[in-house]
Amino acid sequence: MNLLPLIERELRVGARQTFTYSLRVAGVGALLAAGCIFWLMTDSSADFGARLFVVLHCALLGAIWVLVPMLTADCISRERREGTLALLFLTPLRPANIVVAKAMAQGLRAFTLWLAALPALAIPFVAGGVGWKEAFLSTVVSFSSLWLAMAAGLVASARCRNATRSLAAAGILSILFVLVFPLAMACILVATFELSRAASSWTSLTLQVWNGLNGEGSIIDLGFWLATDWDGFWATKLIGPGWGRWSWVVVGFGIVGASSLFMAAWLIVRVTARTVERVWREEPPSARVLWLQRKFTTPIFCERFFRRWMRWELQRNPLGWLERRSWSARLVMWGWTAVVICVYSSLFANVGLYERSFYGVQIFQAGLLVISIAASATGSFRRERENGVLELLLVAPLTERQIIGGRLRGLWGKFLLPETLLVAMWFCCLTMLPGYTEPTEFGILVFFVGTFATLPVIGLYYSLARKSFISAFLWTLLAGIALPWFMARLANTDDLSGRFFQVLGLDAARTDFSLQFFQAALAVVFFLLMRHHLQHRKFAV
Amino acid sequence: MNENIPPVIPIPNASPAPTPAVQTFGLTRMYGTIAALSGLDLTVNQGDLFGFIGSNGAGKTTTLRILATFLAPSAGRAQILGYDVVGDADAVRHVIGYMPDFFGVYKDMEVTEYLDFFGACYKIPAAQREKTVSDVLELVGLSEKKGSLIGALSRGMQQRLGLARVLIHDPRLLLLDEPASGLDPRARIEMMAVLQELQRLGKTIIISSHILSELQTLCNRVAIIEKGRLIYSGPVQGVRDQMSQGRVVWVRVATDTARAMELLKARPEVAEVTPVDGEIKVTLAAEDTDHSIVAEVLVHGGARLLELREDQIGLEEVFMRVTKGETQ
Repeated sequence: MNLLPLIERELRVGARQTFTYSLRVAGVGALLAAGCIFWLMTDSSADFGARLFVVLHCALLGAIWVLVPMLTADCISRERREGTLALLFLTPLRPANIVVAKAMAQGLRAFTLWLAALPALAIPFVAGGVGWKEAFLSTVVSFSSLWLAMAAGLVASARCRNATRSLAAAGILSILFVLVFPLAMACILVATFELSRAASSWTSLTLQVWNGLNGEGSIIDLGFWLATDWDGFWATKLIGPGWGRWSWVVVGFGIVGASSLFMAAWLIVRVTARTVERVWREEPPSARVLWLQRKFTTPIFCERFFRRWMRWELQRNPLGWLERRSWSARLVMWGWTAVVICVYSSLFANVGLYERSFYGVQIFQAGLLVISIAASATGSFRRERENGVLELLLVAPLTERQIIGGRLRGLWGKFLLPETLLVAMWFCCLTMLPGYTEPTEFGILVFFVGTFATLPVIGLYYSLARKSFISAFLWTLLAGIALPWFMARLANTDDLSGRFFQVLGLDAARTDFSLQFFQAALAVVFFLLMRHHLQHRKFAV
Repeated sequence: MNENIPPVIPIPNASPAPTPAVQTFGLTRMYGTIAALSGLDLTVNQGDLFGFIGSNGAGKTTTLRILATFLAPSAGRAQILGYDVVGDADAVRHVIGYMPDFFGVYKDMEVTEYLDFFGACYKIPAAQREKTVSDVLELVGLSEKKGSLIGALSRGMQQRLGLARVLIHDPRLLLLDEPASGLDPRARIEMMAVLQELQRLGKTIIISSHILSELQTLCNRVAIIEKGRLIYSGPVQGVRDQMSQGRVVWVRVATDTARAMELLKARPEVAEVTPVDGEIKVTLAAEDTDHSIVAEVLVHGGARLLELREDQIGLEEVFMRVTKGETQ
C-alpha cells in the first residue's frame, strides 16, 4: 500500500486551511470556557481540582463528538464534488487504501485537537485531587470517542456528495454513537467486573458500580456515568487502594478502548471503503431511485394549488422561492412540523412523561430546531457562491438589500410553521397547564424566539463570508448564541451592567430582555455588514 | 418588455453619430498593487459585433465585469448607452445582458424553471414570462429541452442556456465572456450563428474569445488589450492592413517557373519574387496595387497560370505580432 503520497497531500491541504487551526482554537476554547464557567459558578473547595477535571473531561468529550465528525464529514464528499476521487481510482490505489490514508490524515488532525487541549486538561492536576489513574481512564475514553467520531464522519462523507447532507449524516451518526458508546461501555465493564468477582472473591465491583446510581437509572445511565466520570464516579467507585481492583478496571477500560478501535477500523476499512468503491463512478440515479423521488417528493393532491402558490411566491420573492423550491426544503419544513406535533402528542398522551421530561424535551427539541436553522442559513448563499449565480444576481436589477431581504424571508418562511407551533404550544403549557412555575422558563422561551428570528441573519452573513460550510456553521452558533449570551451575562453582572446600560440609556432592559437586546443588536450589525460586503463584492470565493 | 426600464437618453436625429453603446474613459482597476486595467479608453458603437481580444490575464474579464456593474472601477469611468456604470448601475442592468465565463446554473433545476427564476429577478410579469421563456429557448435552439434538468444537458446546451438567460429581459447590449470556450466545432458554429442573428436583430454584442479565426469572420470591429492597456481598437480589416508588411500574392505555374519569376521581377509594381516549395511568392511594392497585374504579366508573357491567391494576414497573426504575451 503506497499511502504516503495521499497522506502527504491531505496534510498539506489541511495545513493550508485556516479551519484546521481554528478547530483547535475552538476545542481549547470550549474547554477553557467550560472551566471558566465552572470557576465562576462554584466556590473553591478542597475537591475543586477533581470537580474541574470532570467538567473539562466532559467538555473534551463534547468537543470530540461535535468537532471531529465535522472535521471529517467533508473529506471524501469534497473529492466527489470536485471530481478528484475518480482520479485517485485511476492510480493503482484501492478503495481501502484511499479511505485508510484519509482516516490517518484526519486522525492526525483530530489528534492535534486533543494535543492542543492537553495543557487545559493539566490544570486540575496542578490544582490537586486528581491522579494518574483518572488521567489514564480519561485518555482511554477520549481516544475511544475520537476513533468512533472520526469513523462517523468518514462513513457519512463517503455516502453523501453534498456537504450539508454529509454534515447532517455525520451529526446523526455521531448522536447514534454517543448513545451506543456508553451502552457498550457499560456492558463491557459490567461483564469484566462480573468476571473479576468470579476470579477473586474480594469484591463485587458491579454491585458497587450499580450502587453508585442509588438503584436508579438504566444501563445507559450507568454508561454515561462511566464515560463522563460524572460526580467523581471514577474516584469513588472504580479507583480504590491496591492493585487488585484497579487491574480489573484497567482490563475493562482496555477492552473498551480496543473494541472502539476495532469498531472504528471496521467502519472505515469495510463500510466506508465499500461505499467509496460503489459510488466513485458517480453513476446517475437508477430508475428505481428516480421513481421513489418522484413518488415521495411531489405533491399528490392540490397539485395545481401548490403550483400556483409557488408561481406566486416566485413572482413576489424570487430569492425566497429559491430557498424553498426544492423537495429537501419542503421536507425540512414539513418534517419539523411533524416532529413538533409528534413530540407534543407523546407528551400529552403520557402524563408521566409529561411531568418528568417536559422541560428537557422542550429544550432539546428547540435546540435541534436552532441547529437546523443555523445549518440552513449557513448553507443558503453557499450554493450561489459556488455555482456563480451570486454574480449573476448582483448584475440583475436587484439591490443588495432586496437580495438579502428576499433570502431572509425565504429562510424565515421555511421554518415559520414548526417555530410557531413549538412556541405556541410551549407558551400554552406554561400559562395554562399545571406543574410549571419555573420563572426562568419564560426567559428561555423568549430566548428561543429571539434566536429563531436572528440566527438566519447571522447564518446568512457567514454563508457569504466563509468558504467552508463547517466553519460558517460554527461561527454562526458562536455569534448567534454564545456571543449574545456572554454579552448578556457580562451586562447583568452587577459591577458592569449598571454602567453599560446607563451609557446606552436602556437601564430598564437590563433585568428582563438583555439577551434579546444583544441578539437583535448583533443581527442588525451582521445585516449591515453583509450588505456592505455584497456592495463591495467581498465574499468568499 | 420591462416597465422598470428607465428611458434611454434620446439620440437627436440631427446628429450624424449615434450614441456609442459603450464608452470608457481612462478605466482603471487595481487589485491590491496590481493594475488589471490601466487607463482603458474604448468605444463600441451601437449594432457592433465587437471582438475583445487579449491573452489570459490581460484584463478582458475585468473590463466586462466593470461594464456589467459587477465591479467598480478604481479610476476612470464607463458609460453604457449613455448611463454611467457606477452612478446609474440600476439602469445599466436593465439594458445589458452579461454572460460570464462560467455557466452559473442550478443543476437540479429544469430549464424553464431556471429562466423563469431569472425572469422574475428581472421583474418580468408572470403572464409575459412564459412566452418570453419559450421565445428565447427557440432562439437558442433549446425548445426541445425545456423540461429537462440542467444537470442532464451537455456543455454546449448549458452554454446556450446561459445565452438564453442573457436574452430573457431583451437587453440592448450583450457582454459575452468566452461564450464558445469548451464547445465542440458544431456547437461553436451554431453559437456564432445565433450571435449573428442577434446582431441582425439590432443588438450590440461584445464578445471576448480566444478563438480568433472565428472572431475574424464574425466581428466587424475588434479591440486588442494587453497588460490592461488598449493596443488596438477598430475594424478588423484595419488592423490587418496596419500589420501587413506589403501585400503578398502566391502563384503556381504549369511549367518553367524560372521564366515566370523573371517576368515578374521585370515589373516595377513587384518588390520581391521568391520560389517556395514549387510556388512563387510575389511581394507587391505598394499596398494599393491591384494584384491582377501579376496574372496579366504572366499570361502575356506566355506562362501557363494554374493558381493565384492573395495572402491575407489573419487575426491570429496580427495578435501574435502586436502582443508580447505579457500578463498582469
